[in-house]
Amino acid sequence: MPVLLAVLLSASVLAASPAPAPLTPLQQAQVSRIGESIRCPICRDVLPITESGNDISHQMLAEIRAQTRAGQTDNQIYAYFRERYGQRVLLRPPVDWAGTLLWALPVLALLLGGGALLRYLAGQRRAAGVDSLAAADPALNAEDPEDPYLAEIRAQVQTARERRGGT
Amino acid sequence: MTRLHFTPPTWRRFAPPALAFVLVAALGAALLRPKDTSSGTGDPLLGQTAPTFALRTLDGGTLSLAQLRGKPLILNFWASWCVPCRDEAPLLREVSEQQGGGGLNVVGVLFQDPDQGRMRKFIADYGLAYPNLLDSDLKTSINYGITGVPETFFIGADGLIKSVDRGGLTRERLSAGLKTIGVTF
Amino acid sequence: MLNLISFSSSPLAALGQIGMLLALAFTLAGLWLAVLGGLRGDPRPTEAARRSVWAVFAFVSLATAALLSALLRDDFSVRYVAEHSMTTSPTWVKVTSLWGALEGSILLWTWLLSAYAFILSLTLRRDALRPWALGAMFVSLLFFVGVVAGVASPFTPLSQIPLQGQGPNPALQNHWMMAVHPVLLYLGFVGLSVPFAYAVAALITGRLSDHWLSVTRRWTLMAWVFLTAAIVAGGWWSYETLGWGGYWAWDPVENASFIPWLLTTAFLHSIQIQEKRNLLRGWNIWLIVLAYASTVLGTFLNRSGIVQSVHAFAGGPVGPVFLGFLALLLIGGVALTAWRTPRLRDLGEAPAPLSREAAFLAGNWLFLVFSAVVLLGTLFPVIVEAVTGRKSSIGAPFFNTFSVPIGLGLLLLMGVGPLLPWRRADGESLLKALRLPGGAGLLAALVALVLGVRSVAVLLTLALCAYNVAGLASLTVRAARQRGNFAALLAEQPRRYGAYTAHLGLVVLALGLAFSGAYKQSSETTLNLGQDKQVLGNTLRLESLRQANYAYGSSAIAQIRVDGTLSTPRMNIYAQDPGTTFPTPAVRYSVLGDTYLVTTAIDDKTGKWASIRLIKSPLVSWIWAGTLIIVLGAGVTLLSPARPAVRKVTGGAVAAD
Repeated sequence: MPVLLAVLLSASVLAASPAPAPLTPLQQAQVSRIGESIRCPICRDVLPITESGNDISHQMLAEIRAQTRAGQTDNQIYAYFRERYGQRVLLRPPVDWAGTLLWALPVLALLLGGGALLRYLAGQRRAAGVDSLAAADPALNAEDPEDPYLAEIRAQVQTARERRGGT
Repeated sequence: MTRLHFTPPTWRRFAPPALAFVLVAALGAALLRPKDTSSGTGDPLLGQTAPTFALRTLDGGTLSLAQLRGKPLILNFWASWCVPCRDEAPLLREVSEQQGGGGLNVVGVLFQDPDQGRMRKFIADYGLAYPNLLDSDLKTSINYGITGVPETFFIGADGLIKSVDRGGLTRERLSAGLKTIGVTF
Repeated sequence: MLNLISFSSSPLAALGQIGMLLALAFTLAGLWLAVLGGLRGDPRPTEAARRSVWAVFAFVSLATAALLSALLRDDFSVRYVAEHSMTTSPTWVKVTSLWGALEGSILLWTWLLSAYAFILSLTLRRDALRPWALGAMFVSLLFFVGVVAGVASPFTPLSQIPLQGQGPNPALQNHWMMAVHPVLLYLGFVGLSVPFAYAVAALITGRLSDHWLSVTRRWTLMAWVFLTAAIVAGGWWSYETLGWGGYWAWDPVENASFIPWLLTTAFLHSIQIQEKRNLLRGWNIWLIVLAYASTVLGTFLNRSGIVQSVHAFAGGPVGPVFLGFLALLLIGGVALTAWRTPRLRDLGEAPAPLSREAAFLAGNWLFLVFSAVVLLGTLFPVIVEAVTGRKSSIGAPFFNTFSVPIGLGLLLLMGVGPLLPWRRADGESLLKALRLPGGAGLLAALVALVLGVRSVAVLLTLALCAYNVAGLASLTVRAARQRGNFAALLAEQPRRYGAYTAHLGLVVLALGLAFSGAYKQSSETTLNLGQDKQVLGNTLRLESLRQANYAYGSSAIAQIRVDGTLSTPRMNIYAQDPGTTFPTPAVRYSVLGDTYLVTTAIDDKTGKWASIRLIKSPLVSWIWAGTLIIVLGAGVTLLSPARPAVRKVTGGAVAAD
């Protein structure tokens, strides 16, 4: 029934208006956004319909434009295509447990990785403060001498600190 | 502080290979699973009401889904440039001749085919006597979720899609599909 | 699987098959000898193993030469030639057909692997690592040689020798990049096998040394250069042939080449921490093992048929074999690494939170998360379908959500890294050093805002790129002024300035990506012969439409004048696939933006009109130019530094195992 309604709706929109009103910028943005998330159904590659030149992709884009003009939301238009093609036509992850997992795992990886990094950087340092500025290590220096710009800045900061410290 | 032998906790030693094993097993499952392109058990259109259409035939008339109601229907999407369609065509001709009298409608729909001359030649070559419709604006193709040609829909007399073939018909697949709409072949 | 060899029916095929079988025999022998030499510490089996490598290289070369010669001579008695070549193809197409289909491409990979093994056998030092490094190379060789000799042999006999072959995939004949991209890519992938072999050797023997470090670094850098060039070359190929003005589709096979690149880039940075501070020895081994494993994962995805992609070769019996190799490498490699890296304990203290090491490690973190994102997105449809049977697609919306912020984070770290000293940075010094770059970034963003740029991603990219350039410039200018002579500076510290150049190249590339991604304009219209039409601010006129016929097919050539300049986009039809057209777009390159014209349909009856698509992408050529700069910079870092007049201080040797 919804299929029938949508078909009649789009058919009537196109049949009634010979020269449809141009889309507003917001609507154009919606069309691009949706178009970039719908997969070209006949291409072997994973391409959005905005980037494949075949007729059916064009027609799908035209359909999206018509529905946007009619005021459909993103989700309604996604549902329209999902009813006909299934989940595989959407380039966005499915809205189910698997899709949620997919979005969550990178964020989890980011947090866990960041945590592990911080833990490593905070770990086992000798209590006595080692004056470990690069200039102290001669072997290090020969292969990779300290950059003159950074050395200059370091010297400036040092003198400023001594002046403040009132030595 | 130096310890000669450092053994990390057991979980640290076994977790990485275990994860690797899970990944490989998942890939193996994906590889060894039989490719299921034709029966389309997960097809979104199965069991749904067949989307309606009203399209022009090659001879200039119009044919709509409503006119075909009441009898089982084979709806076959094809194109004259499509090579596997040539393998299907004799089977479709056979079934349409066998059953065309009373019990079954066979209708073809042309998908993304600009060349009418080549279409007519194809039809003449294979002796296809059933109506062939032009889906010029591709709306019907979108409604039927066409991802390529050939694709065939077996629609029951009640108007519901009973089975879908998206891989190209063979005699077995055609028989199986016909069985779902109550026709023996 | 057992191939019947018959000299009478096909001498070249027989020669090729025998070559591969002998190579297989020597690979098995070499593996056994290498393991024997490693276990017993005996140099004689190791030496024999080393020479087995030469034999393997010789025989694989023989087989490759046989196949190439069969292709060039149109010898259709060889099955591969009958299936993938034809007499009417141009010569360069016949050569590239060597790697144009599954069996041939695996043969090319095998040949490159044996060539690298050969070079390794010549440069390998006589130490405890030698037998095990050779052994690891032999394991890789065993799989590839085994596959070519057995399951995917191009030399299996034909029952009937056809008069004409089926020809190559027309898509692979449409552009000269086919001669370049796959070779570069394999050079990159296969290049990682050597650092991997060294890492395995280090794990098994429990030893690392300065020598291991410098050798691994050089091999990895070389593989990285090829991989970078190959990935971007592939992007350029897509740009020039596919007709939608894009260069990256997050295609599963593209992603499979991107993951090793990310891991290798992470490795190249954290290896420096090992060099300078002798830390992260275990971590670096992990990175190289994962990088090589991801290469094999990529080739498995490409050849098993489990992903849908225009790049993917059709599935077949090769799939399970590659899965087996992947299983061995991934599970075995990961197990070995997990069990043996704890023996490689770090001998220093953890780096300070504000230091160059920390910046590199933060970069590592982002590279690894990026790899995880790409891996997850690529495997998600495959695994979900295997487990639940439901099909899904993951595309740009998912990948771009993560790749843009991560990319920006990497740009940020890339800028701050050179400004941080090793060991520990003084917060105040850092802030002072950041003043100029930060100011430059802010200024760039403001100027862009004033000029009308509204996209947040583009503004941030601009700001970060300006900040990077200002930072590198201030460092370089000051150092050059002090030294007096920039050329001498470059010669004395090629690694530092090579790295700066590579980073600069990346900045150029990032700007190209940002602008072409955000501001691409596209318009489709039909041009009538002889009439002017305004499209996207350009005047287009279709001047002529003609057909050219060649032995291998035909082309419809449109001559279109764009603002006075002639462009000739074509639509090609190849004899082996007469139903499909392959467009060759006409691209006009320029520094500020490309004008890209492709014909989508032509009036083949009367020749009076042509449908075209005009695409204008700003700064796309910066992507290609940036990559050249990266490759140049990376090449410079491979140079040996010229010793300065000051004598090197020899006290305080860096700890070696």
